[in-house]
Amino acid sequence: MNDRDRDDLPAGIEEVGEVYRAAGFDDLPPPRIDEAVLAAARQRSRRRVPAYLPAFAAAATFVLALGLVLRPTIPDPTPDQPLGESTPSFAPLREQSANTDTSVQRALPLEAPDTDDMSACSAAQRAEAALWIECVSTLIERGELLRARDELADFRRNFPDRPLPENLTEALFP
Amino acid sequence: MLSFRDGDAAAFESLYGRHRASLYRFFGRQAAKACVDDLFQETWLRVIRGKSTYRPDGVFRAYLFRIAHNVLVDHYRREANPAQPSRSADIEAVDPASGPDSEYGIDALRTAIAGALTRMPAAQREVFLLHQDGGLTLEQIGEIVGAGRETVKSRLRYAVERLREALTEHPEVREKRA
Repeated sequence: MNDRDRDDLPAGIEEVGEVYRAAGFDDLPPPRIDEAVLAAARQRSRRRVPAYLPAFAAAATFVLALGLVLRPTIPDPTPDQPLGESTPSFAPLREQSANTDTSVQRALPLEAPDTDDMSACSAAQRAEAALWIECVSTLIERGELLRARDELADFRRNFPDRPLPENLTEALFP
Repeated sequence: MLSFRDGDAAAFESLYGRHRASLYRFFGRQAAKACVDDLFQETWLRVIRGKSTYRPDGVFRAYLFRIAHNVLVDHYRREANPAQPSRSADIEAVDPASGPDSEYGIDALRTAIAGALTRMPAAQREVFLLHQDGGLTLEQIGEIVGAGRETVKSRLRYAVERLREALTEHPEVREKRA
């Protein structure tokens, strides 16, 4: 209290003040209030976060959201890379009806069950030279020359001493 | 307070220990007993919540009692009875004749002071308590209650007169006058 204050105080204030203090109003807050206030202060102190954190969190959220929106789509599998063989989870789709999604159908082998996955001719045809040759001829007639060449190359490896019909070699290797 | 603002919880405990008694007394003489704990706690919670915006433009005591004044005003508005916030029945009743001390024992003195404070207008009572319990200057009190220095001085003078009248028969006062 400065001198100006002391001079300006009403008469009798010091006397009444002494009596007021002598009365000893010593009421104090109960311990539960003390504990509640101090706990709130401690909690508030712990909750303090660096000033940059909100901005950092917002930026991270934005980048993640952008990444999700601009995520590249998974390319459709080509017939040469059937997902059905390498991905067991697709196996049940084979049993679905013809109404199944076309993209899934593209991912599955188109050949009959007794056919080797990469072969145009069936296993039974490939077991017998005459039948295999007949299958290759059919492929040529259908215009599937690339598959016919592959089958013929396989045929040569499996029956190296078997002569090839001229019409086939002319058609495939003119 | 600045240390607490910067995350030092121990600094708050020091502040709290220094001012808790005077603040509790301040409310104890102005509000019903059942409300004192809530008002006291609400004041400190406002201090805690407002720590990030605290500006050291004065003493902490003045800052604390400014918040206490606002809490009290809010309380009066809720109660819609600003003139008599604390009824005599709410103040710890003491029968002067029944105590071990004489009629003018310490309990009787407390009862007389509490009764006088209860009967005086709220504005005078608050100014007196801000001066006595808060230890604030006339300027600081004026800033808190939104009144000029002369108004504060006038209210304080009336409060002192009323208290002197109430205590005129008390030996403590008689001795001092003698």
